[in-house]
Amino acid sequence: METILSLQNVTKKYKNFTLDHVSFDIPRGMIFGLIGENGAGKTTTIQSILDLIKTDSGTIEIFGKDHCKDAKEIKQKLGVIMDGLNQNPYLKCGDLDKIMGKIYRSWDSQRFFSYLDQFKLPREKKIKELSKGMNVKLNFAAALSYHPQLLLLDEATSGLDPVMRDDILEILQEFVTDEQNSILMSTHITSDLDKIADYVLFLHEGKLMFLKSREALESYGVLHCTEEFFRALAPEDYDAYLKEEFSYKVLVPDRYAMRTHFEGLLLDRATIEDIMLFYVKGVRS
Amino acid sequence: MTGLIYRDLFTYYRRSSKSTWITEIIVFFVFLLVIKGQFSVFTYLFCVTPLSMSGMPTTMKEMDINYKGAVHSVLLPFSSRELVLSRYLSALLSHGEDLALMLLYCVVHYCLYRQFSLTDYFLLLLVSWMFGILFTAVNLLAAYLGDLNVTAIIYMLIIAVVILGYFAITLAGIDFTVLFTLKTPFLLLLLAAAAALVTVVCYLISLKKFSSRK
Repeated sequence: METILSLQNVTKKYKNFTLDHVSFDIPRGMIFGLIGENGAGKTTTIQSILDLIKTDSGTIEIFGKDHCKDAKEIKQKLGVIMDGLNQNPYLKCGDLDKIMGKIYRSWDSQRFFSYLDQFKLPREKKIKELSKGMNVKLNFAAALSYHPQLLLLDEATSGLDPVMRDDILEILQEFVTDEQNSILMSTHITSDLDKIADYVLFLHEGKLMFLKSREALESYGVLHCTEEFFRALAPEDYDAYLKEEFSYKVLVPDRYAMRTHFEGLLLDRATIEDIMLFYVKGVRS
Repeated sequence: MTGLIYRDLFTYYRRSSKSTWITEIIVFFVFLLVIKGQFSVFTYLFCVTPLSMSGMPTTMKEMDINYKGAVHSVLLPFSSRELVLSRYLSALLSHGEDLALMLLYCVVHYCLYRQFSLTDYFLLLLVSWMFGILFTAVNLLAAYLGDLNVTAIIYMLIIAVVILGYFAITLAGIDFTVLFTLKTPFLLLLLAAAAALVTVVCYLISLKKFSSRK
């Protein structure tokens, strides 16, 4: 599969934080989720990709081109939606069509206005009068209307109610169905990733902890057991554990295999949030 | 790059409230009909319009700060050079409205009072525009070098210097009509060269600053 975004050993050093040799490739047609606690390096990673900050080392290629040298060409096909980064508040929603049409070669007015109608955004309404959720919708309408091939979303759905978020997730899934477009989506709302992500990247303290497919993540389980049972487990049986007052919570990578070996276990499916919590707060094997 | 210029001019137009237009019209008629004579012409052309035409960079800076416009711009498919150059060109193109007002003012003033010859009115208009370009370039530079406060302070300083300078010259008894006795093509050329030089230097410094923002 053709790679749409490639990061190799990307490093950015700050006084109290280092994004440490982060490497991953995103093929076409995939949705990648980027998770991690606050300050883990998600925004630094996205800012590096967008050339908003200068990296200390490493290479970043988008559409097979250098993200700095070919930035102009790349940005024609790159959609970006970031939390708190809205359109100019003095414009009206419909004005974006006139402006963006002169900026993006493949701007699609018809598509833009159909998104405005779908999201119930009045064309004549001033952007400064829109609610946070409506601003997010407008950002999606604008970003999707020049037919980008790669979408970078940084906490983009955070202002939306669950119903609208679900609609947006549907649009994002549609966006990748032709297997030409991809999405890198950084979010704290891990339930969104549970629904749509094909792969999940987990950053912790500036390092890439794992890159796992949806299938791999779906087989994760949380085992609730006694200390005696936990002591009987081999370290390769689990990824991490949390000791509670009278029991153990254990993150197992293959809950189906575990269930086969031990019947009658209290074994739940692990969500992405569970896995993240185990990796951050738990003791790793 | 035309897209960027269009964006800047369009947002600047949207930002302008009705009160801005009404104020401009009132000022125009006050200096045309209420305050009469030479004083009116010189004040309108050397104080009011150059300051009015150089206000766009401060307004754009304020808008950029309000909605993270600088980050927005960097995400657009343009180079740093195009982003900075387009802002300079937009600011200069926004002079069009003030130039039109000045031209109208000169023509109507000439028709009503015939204070000077039409050529002299035109000379004053050109000198005024050169000052407008100079102030605009300085304001643009301030917008790229400093934050909103710095930009606003520089703009206020320019306003203060122009007004104080104007009244100092008037109080010193220097007659502005001395301009007509100077070798006008030479004077205009000198002013145009100074305005162009200052604008180019300001642009280069702004570009350097903008390119090193990361």
